Amino acid sequence: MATFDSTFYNISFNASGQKFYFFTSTLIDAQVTSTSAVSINSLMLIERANASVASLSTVTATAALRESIGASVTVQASVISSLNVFSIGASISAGKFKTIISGFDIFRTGLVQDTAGIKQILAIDGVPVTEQTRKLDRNLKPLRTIATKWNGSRGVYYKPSNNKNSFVLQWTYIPGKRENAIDLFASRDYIKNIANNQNYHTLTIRNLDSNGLTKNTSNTYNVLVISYSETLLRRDLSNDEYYWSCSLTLDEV
Amino acid sequence: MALSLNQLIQLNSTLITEHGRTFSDSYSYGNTDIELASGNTRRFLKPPKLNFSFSWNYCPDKQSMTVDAKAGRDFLYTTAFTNDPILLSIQSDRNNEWKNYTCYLSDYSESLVRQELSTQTKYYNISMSLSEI
Repeated sequence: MATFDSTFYNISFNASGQKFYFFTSTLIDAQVTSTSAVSINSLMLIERANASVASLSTVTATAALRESIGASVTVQASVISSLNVFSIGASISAGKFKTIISGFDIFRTGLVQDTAGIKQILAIDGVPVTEQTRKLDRNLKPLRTIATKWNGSRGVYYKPSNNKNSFVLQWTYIPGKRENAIDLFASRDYIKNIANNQNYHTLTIRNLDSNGLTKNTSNTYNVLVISYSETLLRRDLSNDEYYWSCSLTLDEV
Repeated sequence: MALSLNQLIQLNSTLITEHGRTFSDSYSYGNTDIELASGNTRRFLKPPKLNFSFSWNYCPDKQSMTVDAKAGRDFLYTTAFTNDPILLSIQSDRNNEWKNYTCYLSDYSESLVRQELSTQTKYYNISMSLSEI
C-alpha cells in the first residue's frame, strides 16, 4: 500500500514487487539511503525537467529526461530494506510543472518474477513508447544485388552484413503528453522529437517470454528515421491536449 | 454568432478559420543515405523540413460567415496567389505558444460546393499545402 505526504512518497512492497503510479504537482523532497541492492527498470521522469540521477549507492536506475525549462530536478531513490519501504522523489528547484513518476518494474535481489502490468514492447533511445493503438510492421530488406546474365539466369550477390530490418510504427489518437496516454509511456511529443533528430537511434523490441512472468529479453537495433507524418485528429481544449495519428518509419543502419 | 475557439493557424499573421479544418504535417528529409560495401548505411545529414497540409470543408468565402468569424476562403485564395513566402504560425502546443515557419505554397485547390443566394455567400472545399523553406 502506498502512502503519500507532502515531502516524499513511500511505497511498501511485498516480496513479489508492485507497480505504482504517482501524480503530483507539489514539491517533493528526496531521500537517499540505499541499503540493499535493488534494480529499477524504466524509471522515468517526464514533463519538463532537467534531472540528474544523484548517488544511488547500490541502487541502479535509468532516468529518461525531457526538455528543460530552466528548472532543475534531482532524482534520488532510496530503499530501506528492513522496513520493505521504497521511497522515490525529486526536489524541484524552480519552475512550476508536474512531475510524474511513471511505472517501473522493481526486481529485488534474487527475485525473478516480472509482475509489471502493462509491458511495453517498444523503446526508442531507451525510452518506452506508448502501447496506445500502436501498430508495428517489420519488413526485411535483403542486402543483395541481382544481375541477370546473358543466358537469362540470375546471379545473386550478397553483402557481408545481415539483411536489414525496416520498421513501420503507427499510432492513432495518441495524446501529445505522455501523462494522458493510457500507459503513461512516451507519446506523440517524444515521437516527433525523435523524427526531428537525424542521428541514428536505438530501437528496442521486447521478446515474449515463455509464460509472461520471467524477466524479458529484448533485441536492440540501430535505426535511422526514414519518414514521419502525423495528422491532428482532435483538440481537447478542456484538458489542454491534442490527439494525433502518427506514422514513423525506421530503417536499420 | 461567432464561437469562442482557439485558432490553430495563422497565415501572414491573420487568424484562419477553424470551419471544417483538417491539418496534417510530415517531415521531408534531404539526407543522403549511402549503402556501403559492408552493408552498413552512412547518412549525410541535412536539416529536415516540414510539409503542412490543410483542408477546409464547406468553408464560406466571407469571413463574417465562418463559424468563428475568422479569415475564410477569400483570404486563403488571395494568399495562395501571391508569389511571396508565407509566414505560417501554428499553435500546435497546448500552452498557447505559436511556432512560426516561413513557407512557400506547394499546392492549392478549391471546389465550389454551394452558392447561397439569400446571404450572397459561396461555400468551397479547399485544399492547401505549404512547405517550409
